[in-house]
Amino acid sequence: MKNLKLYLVVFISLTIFSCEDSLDLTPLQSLNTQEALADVDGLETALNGAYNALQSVNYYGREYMVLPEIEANLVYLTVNNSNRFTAAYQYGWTIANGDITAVWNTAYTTILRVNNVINTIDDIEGDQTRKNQLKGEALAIRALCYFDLVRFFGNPPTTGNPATDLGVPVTLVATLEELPRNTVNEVYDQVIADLNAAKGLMTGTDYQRFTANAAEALLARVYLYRGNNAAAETSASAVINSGQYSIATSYEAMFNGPGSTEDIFTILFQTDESNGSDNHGQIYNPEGYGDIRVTQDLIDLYEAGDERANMIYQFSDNEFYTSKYDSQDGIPGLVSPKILRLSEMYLIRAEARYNTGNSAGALEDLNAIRTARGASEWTSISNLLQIVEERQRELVLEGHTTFDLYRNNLPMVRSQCNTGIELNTICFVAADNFRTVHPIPEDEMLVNQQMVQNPGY
Amino acid sequence: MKKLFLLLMLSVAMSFSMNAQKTVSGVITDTEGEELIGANVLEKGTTNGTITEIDGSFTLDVAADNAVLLISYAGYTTQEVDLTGLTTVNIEMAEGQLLEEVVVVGYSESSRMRQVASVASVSADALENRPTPNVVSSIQGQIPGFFTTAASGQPGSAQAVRIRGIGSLTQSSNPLYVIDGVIVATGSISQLDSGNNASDVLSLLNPNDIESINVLKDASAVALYGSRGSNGVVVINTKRGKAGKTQFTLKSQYGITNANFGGFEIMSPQETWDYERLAMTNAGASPEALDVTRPDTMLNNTFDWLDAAFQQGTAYNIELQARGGNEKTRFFVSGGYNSIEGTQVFSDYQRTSLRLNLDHEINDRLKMDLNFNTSYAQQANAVNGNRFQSPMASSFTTSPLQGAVNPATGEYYTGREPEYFGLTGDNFLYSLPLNPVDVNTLRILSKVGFEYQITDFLKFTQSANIDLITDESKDYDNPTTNDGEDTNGSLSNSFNQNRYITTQSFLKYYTSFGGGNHNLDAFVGYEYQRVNTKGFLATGIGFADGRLQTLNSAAEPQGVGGSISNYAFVSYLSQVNYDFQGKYFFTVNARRDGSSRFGANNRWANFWSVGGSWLVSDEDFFPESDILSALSIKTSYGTSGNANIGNFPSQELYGFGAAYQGNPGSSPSQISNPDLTWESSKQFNVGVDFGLLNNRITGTVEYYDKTQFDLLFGVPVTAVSGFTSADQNIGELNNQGIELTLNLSPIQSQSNDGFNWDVNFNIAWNEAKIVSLPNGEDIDNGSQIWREGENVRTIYIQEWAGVNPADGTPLWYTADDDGNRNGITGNYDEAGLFIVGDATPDFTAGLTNQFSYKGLYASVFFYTAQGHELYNASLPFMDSDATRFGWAHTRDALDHWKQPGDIASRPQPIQGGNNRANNTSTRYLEDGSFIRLKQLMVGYRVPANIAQKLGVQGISAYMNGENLWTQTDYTGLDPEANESGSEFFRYPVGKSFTFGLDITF
Repeated sequence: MKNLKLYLVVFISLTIFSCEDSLDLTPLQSLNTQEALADVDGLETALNGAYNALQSVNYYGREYMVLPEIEANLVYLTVNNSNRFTAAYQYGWTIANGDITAVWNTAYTTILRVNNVINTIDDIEGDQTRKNQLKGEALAIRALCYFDLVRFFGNPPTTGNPATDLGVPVTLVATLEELPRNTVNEVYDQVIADLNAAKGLMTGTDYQRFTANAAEALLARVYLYRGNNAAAETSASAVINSGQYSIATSYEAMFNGPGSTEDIFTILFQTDESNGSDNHGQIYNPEGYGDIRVTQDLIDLYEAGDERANMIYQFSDNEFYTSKYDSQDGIPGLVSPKILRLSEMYLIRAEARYNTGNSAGALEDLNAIRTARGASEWTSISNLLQIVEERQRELVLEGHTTFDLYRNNLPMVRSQCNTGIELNTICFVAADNFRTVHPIPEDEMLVNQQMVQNPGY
Repeated sequence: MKKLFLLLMLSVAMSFSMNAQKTVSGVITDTEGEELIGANVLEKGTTNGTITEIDGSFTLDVAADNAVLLISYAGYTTQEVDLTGLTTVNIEMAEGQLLEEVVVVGYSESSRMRQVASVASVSADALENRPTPNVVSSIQGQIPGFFTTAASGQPGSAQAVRIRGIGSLTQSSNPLYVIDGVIVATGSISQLDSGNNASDVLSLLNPNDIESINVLKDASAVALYGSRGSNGVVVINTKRGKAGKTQFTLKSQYGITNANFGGFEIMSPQETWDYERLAMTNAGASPEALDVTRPDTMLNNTFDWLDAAFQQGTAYNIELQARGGNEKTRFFVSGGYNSIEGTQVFSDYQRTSLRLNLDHEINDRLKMDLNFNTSYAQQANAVNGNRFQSPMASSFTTSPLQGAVNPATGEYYTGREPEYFGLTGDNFLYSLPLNPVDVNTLRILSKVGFEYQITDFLKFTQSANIDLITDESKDYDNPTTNDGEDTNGSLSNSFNQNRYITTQSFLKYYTSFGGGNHNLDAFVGYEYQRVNTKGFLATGIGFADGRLQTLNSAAEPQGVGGSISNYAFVSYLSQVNYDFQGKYFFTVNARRDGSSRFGANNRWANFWSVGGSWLVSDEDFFPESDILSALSIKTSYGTSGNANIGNFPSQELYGFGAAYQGNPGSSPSQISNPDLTWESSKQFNVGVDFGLLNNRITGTVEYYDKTQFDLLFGVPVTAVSGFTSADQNIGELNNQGIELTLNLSPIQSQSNDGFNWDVNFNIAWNEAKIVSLPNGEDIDNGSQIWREGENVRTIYIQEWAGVNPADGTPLWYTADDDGNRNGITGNYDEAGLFIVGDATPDFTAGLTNQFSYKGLYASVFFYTAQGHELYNASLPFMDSDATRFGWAHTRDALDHWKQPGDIASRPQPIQGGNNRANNTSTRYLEDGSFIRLKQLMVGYRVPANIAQKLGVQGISAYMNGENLWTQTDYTGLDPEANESGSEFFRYPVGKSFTFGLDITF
């Protein structure tokens, strides 16, 4: 009997310990999706996550800002490089290229983050103005991402056949479905629809986030790329005439950090968001990687007195560098990239006006920039290249250069090429070369049965 | 079921109580007539027993006149004595044989001959006095099917261990570690650990505290570990007290270590200068340009970087052990201090460890035991990876033409000078002393257990165990160094705590019936384990002075991070062992695991195994023979799992940690999969244990076939979804192999003072093949490929076709759609991909010869791994045909194409590279096979009479050498590289000599 009692104790103790509740543990660093997006605060946090994705080194943190430059002639890749951007400089990428894959993946990662916000926010209780602002920002970010994808992976509408040329797959919801590519026109239609919806929703004025003006400014750029010059002019004028912005008095000071009078939309990098040697500017700074240096092509663009040339300097190795992205807040190479700024609006309007036969109006816009920069005023515009070159002077290293050439059917010509200090490369790329459009990444081709590769790859 | 079991137990108990009783007594001695203190005397089939006293005597009441006594003593053959008609038994114990060893396998123990499962043991002899703080490295080559490699020579670093091949493709393949019966933490917990698992909490366990290590391999052995057993289990048992006079052992050891660079050699400064000028000329540079870029003044300030980065390491160890006690209370106490200075500058390891293992019998029925172990390790971590200051790559690659000292200042270059052309813009000789990475770890591993003998045949045990590891680490970057200048100095402090709390309750049952013909023992158990890990990390930047190294002196807080994660396992387990006449053995194991890690749809997992063995040589029909003196056959089949799948893998989650404008951000981090669960394995094992020539030769041969299925895969998904992969239980992998162990005694002297020669040989063949992959599609794994039907580590790269004799350019083979060669190309883009080998050895083997003559003893241990390829990933940088201009170059690179018609192994060196000749190809793939003299030990044990004159019980002195000699065709640093099959600049494991003195008193 005594033993029986003991057995009892034993088995009771066994059952006491076996509380299965202890297996229902929940993560303390993550939330499940419904909990994460349950209220407006949660949605704002999720939207911050989308801005955070824009900051990625694979996107506006570096790659997407550098690729359109290193594929052009204003900078070169030194022969003593750290092996970054070599394929892009040489137009020698394979479909497995890491830079290109990174752009694809990161843009779609950002799109997922905003899609979840856009598709949840209408079902959430909360202040309508705030909800509208958040939804507008999310729509604008989605538009930015699809625009960036379509200009990177598809033919420009101005040189191709946008009704049949393939753009990128468009999804407005979170899905694992394998989607086919939409046409370039369909992607542009979505981008414009999102931006128009966005600008009607937003009331905020923080230049570090999307605003109605920023959406309008992006719309100006999108219309220009699409060849809709009248609409481009209208949108650019709306931003210029908004009275919110003025051309910076000092070009050099403008690039010391975020917050110049020109900034329409700037992605803020705080000091604690430094990526160290992978900071955007470190690819240009000799104290960093210093792989990318300034060509004679760029130097020759500037006339004496042009303030924008002051950024070019000679380092101890007798090669030329740029200090545009020297540092921010004392941190070398840290950059808060200016995604949209006022000078671009003048340049967009100039180009749109020129294309619609309004040379006088174009001249006025160009001279507005040129006088502010200390360059001589022009008296006439002889050809489109003149406008494109002014864009280069003003916007170099801001991620426009190849797009501006190829969408205008202009070839990329490297005058400083294969002299021995640059990595060996090709010196001329015609606008109809298949490599002016990037390949769909191999990973996507393998997994997505609906995917069609770009011609030539 | 439980009731039935209880009834069975009760009925057996009744039958026992009816038997008569008697008292036996006697003295147990060894063959020399020395009394054995603390020998186990057990009534067979019961738990009734005692241990011998200081004079070797014992007295025991037994239940029946015909009872059988089992007398055992560690290191001696267990004896059975039929007591029919006897009341006095004096036994002489013979030195033991492997077949009769007692094997502790975590939850239970048994003698090897009874063992149904595949368990291999390493005794303290092989583990003691080795010069490494991590015991795992000492197991290498001692047992078959246990493959371990050290990725780093950092003292205290982790070892990768693979038991019976690679157990998982995407999740951990590391085995489970069990110390004194409890599953414990392994690996590194520091957030500031500089890569490669440089600190391993297992290094906190003093190897000299270990009594034995058993490695559980087959399903019968691992099924009791259920969802965590499929990668094998390493069971470590620490030393316990022995009744008798307290014995003190003072161990002291001093050693030196030199880095082992194998076949690696770089060009001299003059050779480098000539080579680079040639490469420039070949690239079309003018003589003037040569004199600008490579002026002869460069030869005035040259430097041997490798020599500066590596030094002669030292190691010393001092510890005191005390072992003793009486019948009631026994103890083992040790305290040790181990200090190692690594061969790479500014890397070291110091460990202080204390242990008390106590056993106490409260009364006849109740016993308790206590283990208490506290260890503290301080480690200066060799900086690895992508840090500017890391000497790991810089010391190998910085050109000898780059001096270390700036002639203008007479001080070290900081590396930030414009003219400095080292690898990273940092001179590690300047920055390393300024930028310490310290990892300090405290581990408290303690256990208390009670054992209550409910009846003669039933006992209950209860234990509780705490494994508490705290880590405090620091990483400082001085503002004047390249790593620190961006932030004007940066300091990170981290603190982590891992807490494993485990409780175990067992009901153990023993019986023998049918006149001792039927023996049954069984247990049911319950185990609960909860693991909490938490930590935080704080970083500050902006330091006025490099001497200020606290966060308080930082100008600006930079970042704060914290994390908490928990998981829990609830397990029920049971084992039933039955044998008939000590000839036929059957074992059934079962375990039911519930874990917070498993998806809601699969919360509970069941694992089981069955096994049997047959002691053929005990059969009457088995001819009494000296040639085949013992024979046993065993087989088992069962299942286990791998729950190393992350803590919340099945839930759809938003992760936090992203931020914008200083405000928190969130992002989808995981796709929902409520079915997601553990990886599973099923294993078949068959083996033969044998003794030949009167057990002068004993051995084991085993064959296994192990299939791991439901392997977790990040199945690629369209990136348009915002994800690139989603985890699913989808893959399958198979490991098959043969293992052989042989123990021979070619010369066996009659007396202990004579000449003895013992040989231990083991060899293991393993073949790891991928059975299925998601959608049957190949997965590109860098320079390797996962493909169904192929080896797990199949190397899939471009194939080098040599150098074009006409112009010195590189050539590669092209491939057709079936992967066959169909031509040669000089354009790397057109080169085909080929399966060119694999990185898993066909076999590994260890051979140990031990000699002893009077007090002299010696041990020679060779280890080999054969039949695998190793990609020498350092060479594309150092034998790059001047692609890497301004770096150091291997001396072999001097042998290159020079003029048309040359049949050369290397292309013409051209500054900036020769047609991408240094891109990945079989050019850098080498045979990784090697034979290595792992250990050579010579010692002398001072004769007892002399020692006694000196006032002590025993003195022995020894000299131990490790990694002294290697035979290999591999030209890199060390063929014992990372098991993944690639060697990149690293901290190589060294050659060491150790001198030691053990004094017992």
